[in-house]
Amino acid sequence: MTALLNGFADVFTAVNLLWIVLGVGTGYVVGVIPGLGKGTATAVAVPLTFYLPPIAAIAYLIGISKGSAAGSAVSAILLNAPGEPSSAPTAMDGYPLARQGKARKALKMGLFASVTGDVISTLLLILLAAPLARVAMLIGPVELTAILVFSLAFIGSLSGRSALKGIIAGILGVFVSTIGMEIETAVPRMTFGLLDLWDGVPLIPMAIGMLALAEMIVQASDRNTLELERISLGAADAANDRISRAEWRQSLPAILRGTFIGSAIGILPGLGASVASFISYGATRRAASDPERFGKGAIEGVAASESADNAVVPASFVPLFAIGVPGSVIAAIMIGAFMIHGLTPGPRMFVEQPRLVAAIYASMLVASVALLAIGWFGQRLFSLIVHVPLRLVLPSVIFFCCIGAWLQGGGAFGIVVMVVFGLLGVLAKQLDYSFVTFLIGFVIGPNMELSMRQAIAMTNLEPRLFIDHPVATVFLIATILMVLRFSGVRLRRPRAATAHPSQRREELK
Amino acid sequence: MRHADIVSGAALFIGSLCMILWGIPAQIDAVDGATISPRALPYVCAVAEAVLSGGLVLARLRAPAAPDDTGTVLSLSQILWTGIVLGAVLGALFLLGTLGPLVAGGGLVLVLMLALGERRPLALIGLPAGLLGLGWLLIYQILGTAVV
Repeated sequence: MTALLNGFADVFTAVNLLWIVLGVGTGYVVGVIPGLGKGTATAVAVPLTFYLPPIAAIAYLIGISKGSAAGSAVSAILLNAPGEPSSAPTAMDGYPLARQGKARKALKMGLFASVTGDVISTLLLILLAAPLARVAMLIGPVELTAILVFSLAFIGSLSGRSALKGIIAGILGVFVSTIGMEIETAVPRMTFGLLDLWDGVPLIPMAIGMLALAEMIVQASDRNTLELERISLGAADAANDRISRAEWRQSLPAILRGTFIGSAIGILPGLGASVASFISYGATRRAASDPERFGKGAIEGVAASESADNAVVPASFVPLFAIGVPGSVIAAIMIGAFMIHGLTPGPRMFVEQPRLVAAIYASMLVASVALLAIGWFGQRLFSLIVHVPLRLVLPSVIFFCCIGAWLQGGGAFGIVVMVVFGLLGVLAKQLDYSFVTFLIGFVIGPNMELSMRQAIAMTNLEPRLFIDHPVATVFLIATILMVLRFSGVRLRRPRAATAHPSQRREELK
Repeated sequence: MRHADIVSGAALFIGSLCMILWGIPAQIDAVDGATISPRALPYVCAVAEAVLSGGLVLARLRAPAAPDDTGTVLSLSQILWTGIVLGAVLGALFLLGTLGPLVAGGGLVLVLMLALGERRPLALIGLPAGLLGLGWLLIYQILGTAVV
């Protein structure tokens, strides 16, 4: 506690507070731009901190990561163009709410859910870092492989109208992740002689193409209808801005559930915010008494997704601080920043630099408060995006998409990747293949391959592994059952004429 | 959607078979002594993809066709705008290599604005100039790098 108070004392200087506010503000603005998520924002900002003192630098980066995580919900809600894949479930209900004239209500709920998830997860990090890290260390490669396979099947089964197509998209994502140099043997895979592909397909340009560029194309083709809807948004009743007591009661369990799911998944390396937000969204939809409202403007959907998304970042620092293993892209990027400023992540940092660790904790809590303040007071400003004509918004977004793809994809190659996956994104969107599941498959693919390799080396695939690793066995059986269930394969012969004719008609539609 | 599912499922099925029979053997060297072959995960994915996409085609073939299923999922407008946007981006990329970032970035924004129906001279000058200024600030001043 004394160390934490000392940390707060270090952070509560005008300069450090200014950098936190600047970080959160910058992150929020970057997060609002479709395709530019927290990974991009933090990665781009790391070089900017070279000349800052350690606490100010780390506080600034933490502010950026938190601000951009929350900001990505704004574009998801207002434009149906998530700032990053983890905000895609937010768009599922946030965008329909915006189209009903309830954009500010959705933004408010997204902000409160983000801050709640963020604060609780940060407190969990402070209170439980060491014990939870010990639990995370118990998860071996066999279990991790099974959990990753299960997660992919689970997410695929939740996306779109066809679970089978969702799972197909996820597997395709894993396949694309294998492009590039294989890490054990250094053999190039599927590069077709292109040197640019030796490092694999760059994630950010691909995500920008599939999410942002494809969305801009669809919006451009449907711009007349959307312009009319935007005009109707402007005429929305101000009463729509307020979140009613009943909506709070509905959303609170979703926020707490999302925070728990996000914190738990953040601690497990390799899963990440997208998995957390989708699982949280799916769990809330399943827990609802009227799940058919989801996808049409259920405010709990926004709460579930945003709380989980923002709970992941602080929780992903648990394995980073405890054992030096990053639990997320942000944590991985932050390793570089910590090293630049003389802090080596791992158990010894608690012994060697407890005051700096405490200052990091304090910065995270202060950044949460700044996030609430900037989000709250800036919401009216961000809500104005819906009133800007599409003929100005779309070229601006596409311009920033190109800059993001250029910066993160190594120049012109990044833009080519963005264009290719933009085209695939349009096809996936229209054919109802989940591009989000594709991206998640792509992100967890390398971890899946690594853990699979370790698992095979450990077990030699002997049948005994199913007895020695009961947790993995349970997850694999659950995966098989889920694929069979959602693919429409019946384990028992259906009884004839069980469905009412009207129900059968509904199924045919 | 039934018809589109059959076509897309068949395309994925054929693509997966091509990868299994030609793509993976031709593009990934077999390596002795590795814990698992570099071909292992691509093969697992391609086989799973073939099985599932084949299953999708069969499932949709068995399902009755809805009366309003025309099989068209992309409208003419969507095809047109896909061409315009992707063409504009690729055109800007070409201009970047020949005439530089100012013409490329400004041209991209201007072409898209005109295609979307913007005709106000102030907006047509102001937005590209503002965006180029922001891009310059971010890339050249803040990050200290350059578009080359």
